[in-house]
Amino acid sequence: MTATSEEVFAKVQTALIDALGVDDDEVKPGATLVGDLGAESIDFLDIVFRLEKAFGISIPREDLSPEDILTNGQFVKDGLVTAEGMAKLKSRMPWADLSKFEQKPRVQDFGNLLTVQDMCNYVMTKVGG
Amino acid sequence: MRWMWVDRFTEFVSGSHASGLKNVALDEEVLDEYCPGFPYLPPTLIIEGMAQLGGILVAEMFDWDKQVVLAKVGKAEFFAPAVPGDQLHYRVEIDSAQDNGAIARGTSHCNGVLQANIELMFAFLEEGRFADGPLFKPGDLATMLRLMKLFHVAVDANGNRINISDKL
Amino acid sequence: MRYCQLDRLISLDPGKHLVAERTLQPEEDYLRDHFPNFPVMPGVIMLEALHQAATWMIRTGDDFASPLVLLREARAVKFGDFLCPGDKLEITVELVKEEGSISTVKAFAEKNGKTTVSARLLLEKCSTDHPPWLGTDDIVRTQVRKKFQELYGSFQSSQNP
Repeated sequence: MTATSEEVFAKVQTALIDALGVDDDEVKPGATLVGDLGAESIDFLDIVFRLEKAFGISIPREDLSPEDILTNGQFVKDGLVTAEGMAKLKSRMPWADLSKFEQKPRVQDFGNLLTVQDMCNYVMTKVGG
Repeated sequence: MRWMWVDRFTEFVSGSHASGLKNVALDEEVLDEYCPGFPYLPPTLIIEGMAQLGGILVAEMFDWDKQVVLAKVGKAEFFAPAVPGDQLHYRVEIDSAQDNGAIARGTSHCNGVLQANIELMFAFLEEGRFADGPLFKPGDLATMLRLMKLFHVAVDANGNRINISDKL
Repeated sequence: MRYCQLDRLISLDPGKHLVAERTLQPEEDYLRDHFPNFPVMPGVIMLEALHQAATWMIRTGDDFASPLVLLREARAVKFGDFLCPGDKLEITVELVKEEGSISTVKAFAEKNGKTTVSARLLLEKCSTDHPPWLGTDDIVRTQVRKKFQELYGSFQSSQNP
């Protein structure tokens, strides 16, 4: 299916409101899922199920959770993602805005990276018109 | 008080759906003085009944290898209280499953009328994170499922009877 | 009331806010099934604690005028942590809004400051459906008020500043 970015935002917003119990005015494009909207790991599963259903797409776990990269000694040194690791992350998640993270790429901060806009961008890669 | 909130499985198709019955009885401990003068089944126990049906469906789908717990209730709607003498007919369907969780939808009908509508999300516990080893001792779950008559009705997608797994 | 999920009230602003406590006792019978190797309070019992807190908050708000306060909807129910025997839960419910007979309540419970369950509940004040000549509504009103007194004594309402 193809969709406009407005349609995608509306459905992503609904999925986040239903999964996280937040209000629609809290779900702004720049809001981070973890920091601003209070998403926990259990919520990510819920969000994935809702997005899959709303858009008729399949969301493999590694698309949104690059744990394999973040736990690989080749890509992480002293808690920081290496240049090679950053390149891997960028190619795995080309739809995510990693610029802020890149300035101080601490593995422990990665969980708080994803914004509502990132989620919309991701969905667009799957359904974009 | 036993923690079995479905009296009997009436249908079970592996990977798809399950149905069961819950009879509401005046002598149930949980009704005693719950709402004095108007006994009714606590609606949270209707959620639990459907969670048991759904949880067993999901666990069987993964060949009893996952520790399945209820993680979220997306929405639970109740249209009428369930009172003594009522027989609730539950039906739960698996909506979607991944390797770390699943979602299911369930309905409860009484005398053909929709009594409740529930969305459930299950998570699979990571080994060792909360509990050391399995939630049930060997044989415990098989005993509970026999009491609920799961194996009387359980079939796979092709209609063949499901065997009682050694893992239970 | 054998399925009572609130041991005692900590604070009450009738109709608006209620805080209560519940400790999981190791001898609670259903623990042997949930789960044999890992006894923990079932999530729905934690949710029931929120539900009962919400109903008492609403009932005290109109001095037990409504015979029934029925749960119509539970939304965004999330289970965050397990409650083990001996653990204490602090339950908080707060009225968000009231539209006609329907109250929307924000509810959550914490163990040592960590949320174990949270939910949004919609409850409806209504009458029993019994034939009026039976007078069931009056009987229920009286008995529920009496039950509250028995369970929680005459409790001083706290006023919000």
